[in-house]
Amino acid sequence: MELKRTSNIIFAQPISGLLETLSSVGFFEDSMLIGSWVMPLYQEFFGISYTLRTMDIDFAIHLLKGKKSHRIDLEELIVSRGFTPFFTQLGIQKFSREGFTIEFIVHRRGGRDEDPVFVRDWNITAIPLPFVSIMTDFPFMAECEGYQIKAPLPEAFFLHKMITLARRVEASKRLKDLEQCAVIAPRLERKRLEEVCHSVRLSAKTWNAVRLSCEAINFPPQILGLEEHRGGKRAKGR
Amino acid sequence: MANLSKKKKVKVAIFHHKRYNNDMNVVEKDAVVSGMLKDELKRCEEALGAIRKALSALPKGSLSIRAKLYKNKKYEYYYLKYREGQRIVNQHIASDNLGELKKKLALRKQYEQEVKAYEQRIVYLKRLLKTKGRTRGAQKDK
Repeated sequence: MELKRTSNIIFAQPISGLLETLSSVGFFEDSMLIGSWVMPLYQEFFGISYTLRTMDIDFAIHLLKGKKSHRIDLEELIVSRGFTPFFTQLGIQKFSREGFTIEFIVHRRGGRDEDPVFVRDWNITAIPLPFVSIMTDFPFMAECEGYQIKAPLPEAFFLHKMITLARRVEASKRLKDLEQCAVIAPRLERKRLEEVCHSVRLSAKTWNAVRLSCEAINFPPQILGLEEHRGGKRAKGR
Repeated sequence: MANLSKKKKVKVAIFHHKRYNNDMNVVEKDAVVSGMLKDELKRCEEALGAIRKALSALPKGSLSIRAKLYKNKKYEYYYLKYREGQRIVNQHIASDNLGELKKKLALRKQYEQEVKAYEQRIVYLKRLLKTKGRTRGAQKDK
C-alpha cells in the first residue's frame, strides 16, 4: 500500500480531531475515509482540485471475518469528541457536531436493499451499500499532522463513482458525481485504473452504465476496457 | 491522458456558468451548487427531525438541591425542576437515579445545541435557495 506524507495541515477542526482519534484506535487499519472529504487528500497528494464539499463525513468499514482483536466502542469515542449520536427514521446511526454528520458504510453483497448493519467490533451501525469494496480494496495511506488516514486510490474512487452515479435518483447528485469524475479523470494512472477495472466483476448492465458515464465526461471507455458504441459489451479478452 | 483533458474541457463546460445566465445568482445558474445546497437542506431537515425525536425522549428541566436540617444533621434532596404548561413541577429524584439523570440532562443540552445549529443552517440554506429576479452586482450580458 502506498504511503504518502505531508507536513501541511489538510483538515480543519473538528474533522482533524476526529480523524486523529479514529487513527489512534487503529480504525484506519481496515477501514477508510470516503465521500467528498477525500478530496483534500487528493488535492495534496495527487493534484486533484475539487473544492465543493458536503457536510457529511463518510467512512467505509471493511468487515473482516473472524477478526475480534479490535472491539473498540467507536460510539463512545466519537461522542467524547463532542459529536451527538442520533438515529434517522430508517435506523441509520449518525453523529452530529456543528452541522457536520458522520456516517458509516459497509459493502453490500447482492442487489437487494438491506437494513443497517450492526458492526460489533466497533459498536456502531453502518449502512450497507453496493460496490464499496472497490474502494476498500485499493487504498492508500496518508500521513498528515502526525497521524495516518486511509483513503481509496483516485482510480478506485473514480470507478466507484462512475458505477454509482448512473444509479442516482436525483439528477443534482448525478451531476455532482460527474463533475468530480471529470476533475479526477485527467490525473488517473492508466495502469492502476486497468488494475482496478480488472479486479471487479460487474454485470453487462453495470458496465453499460459506466460506458454512458464515460461518454458524459468525454472519457474514452476503452481505457476501462469497454468498447465505445456497442451496447455495453466488454472488450475482447475481459 | 494529456489529450483527454483537452477533450474534456468541451463537455465539462456544461456544468459551469454561461454568459447568458449572468442575471442569475450562483445558486440558480450552477446546477451542481444548487443541487448540493438542496441536498444539504434535505440532510439538515432529516437530522433536525431525528435529533428532535431523540430530544423528546430525554428529561427536561434542571436539577435543584434542597437542604434540610434534621437533628443537627444536614440532608440534601435533589429535585428535577421543570415547567409543565403554567405550573412548575419539582420532582424528587432518588440518589440512585441521580447519575443517570445528570447524564441525560447533559445529553439534552448537547442535543439542544445541535437543534439550534441545524435551525440556523436551515434558515440560511432556505435564504440561499430562494430564487431572486435579479441580484446585486449582476450585469447585463453585452
